[in-house]
Amino acid sequence: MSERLVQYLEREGRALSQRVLQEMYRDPFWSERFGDRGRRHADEDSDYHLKYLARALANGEPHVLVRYAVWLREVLATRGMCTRHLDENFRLLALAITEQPWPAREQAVALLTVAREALLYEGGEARRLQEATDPLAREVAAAFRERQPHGWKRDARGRGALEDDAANYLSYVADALAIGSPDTLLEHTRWLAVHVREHSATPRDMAVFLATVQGVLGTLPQAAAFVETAQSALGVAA
Amino acid sequence: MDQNAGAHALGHLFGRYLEAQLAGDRREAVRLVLEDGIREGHSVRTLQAGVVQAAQREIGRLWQQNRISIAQEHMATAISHVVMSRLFEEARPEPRLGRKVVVACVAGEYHEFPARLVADFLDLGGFEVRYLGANVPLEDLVAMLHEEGADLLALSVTMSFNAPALREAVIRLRAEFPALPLLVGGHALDWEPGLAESCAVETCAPEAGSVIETACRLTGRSNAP
Repeated sequence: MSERLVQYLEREGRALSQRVLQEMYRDPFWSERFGDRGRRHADEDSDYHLKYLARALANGEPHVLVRYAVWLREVLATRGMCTRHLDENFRLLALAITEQPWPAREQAVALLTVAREALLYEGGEARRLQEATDPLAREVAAAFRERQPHGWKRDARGRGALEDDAANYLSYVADALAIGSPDTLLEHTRWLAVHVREHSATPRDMAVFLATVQGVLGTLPQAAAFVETAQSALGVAA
Repeated sequence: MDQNAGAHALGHLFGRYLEAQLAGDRREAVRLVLEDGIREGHSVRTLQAGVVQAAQREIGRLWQQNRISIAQEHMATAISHVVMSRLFEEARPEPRLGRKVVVACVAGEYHEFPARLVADFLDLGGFEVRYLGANVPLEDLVAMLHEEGADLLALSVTMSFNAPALREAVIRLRAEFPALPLLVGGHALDWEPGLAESCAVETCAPEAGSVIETACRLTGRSNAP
């Protein structure tokens, strides 16, 4: 059964993964954040996702896809793309495969689920932060709105943008912890500061955002320290 | 030189070699290995493995961590090819074993360095080697084996997505040359531990001693030189 699924992946997978990317890129965030170069790499990476998925299917076990996912996590995280983005790419690819009439497609979906689980760091604060990202992001959004009820206007992206931005930011923090360097977090912080200003948010919004993020990281001192470094680099204080 | 001092000296040489690679300084890289390395009493085999091979692994790790670019990675690898050539000239090969080995990367595989290293290990270990390099089309590989004959074929596969090319090659080669032993190596085997077994081919550790010992066994030479 998996042989036929591999054939479908080889024949139709590329068109499918390109549709996934096109769907993702309808959100202007992606092109604004990563530009044309990012899109080209995303295209290439999508092809590799499929190749390694096909290998895992052929083997009947996920080892090779897991190794690829963990390897790619570091490649991307050190180049300024947080792990949550890779996870989102795997999730949407699995969702798109679910919607195909392919035989045994659930095998591919199960393998991508294992690959997503492999994106969790092995331990330490990075892992704890990854596991707590969604509730913490909601906490950030709620606390931010209390202080800035009309802040963080992001016309193109709607009401979920603040939670989404917070979740992405926390993913950058987790990656920085795992890499052991705040560099990519600082780069993302600088980008976000410029980006939110272009989308009608004020400098005060950014300061409140960072303070709020730092505020929810009370039980994760190293993570909080990294955010403080980012605040200092940006020269903001709430 | 005692073992600890030797390991320390080798580590130091490795660090300086890596610096020369990243600086793009071919002459310094060659000088370090061929002059300093030999003068310090390291064997060619030790320099191949402990400096050049180790540096290539480190180069790969540095790229993964975005500490060097693809351009720097390629520059460093090109330097290692030059150094490997010089080491090959410098080495005194073992007496000939009267066994021929063809070494090639499977079709689609462009990572040539590991295969080259194995070719050099085998040649210096006493084998007659035909080294075909990267991305060898299966048809041409088969044709060469018919023309040349061989006692062993060593195939290299680095990227896991080239595993189907390996499998295809093994099926075809088994049909064409049922008695020819196949030795397979490369990074893809690390990511797919069951690959060699599922293809029913031999594999071995990527070290000179292990490569030569396995090749001797597979070609009926019981005693490695």
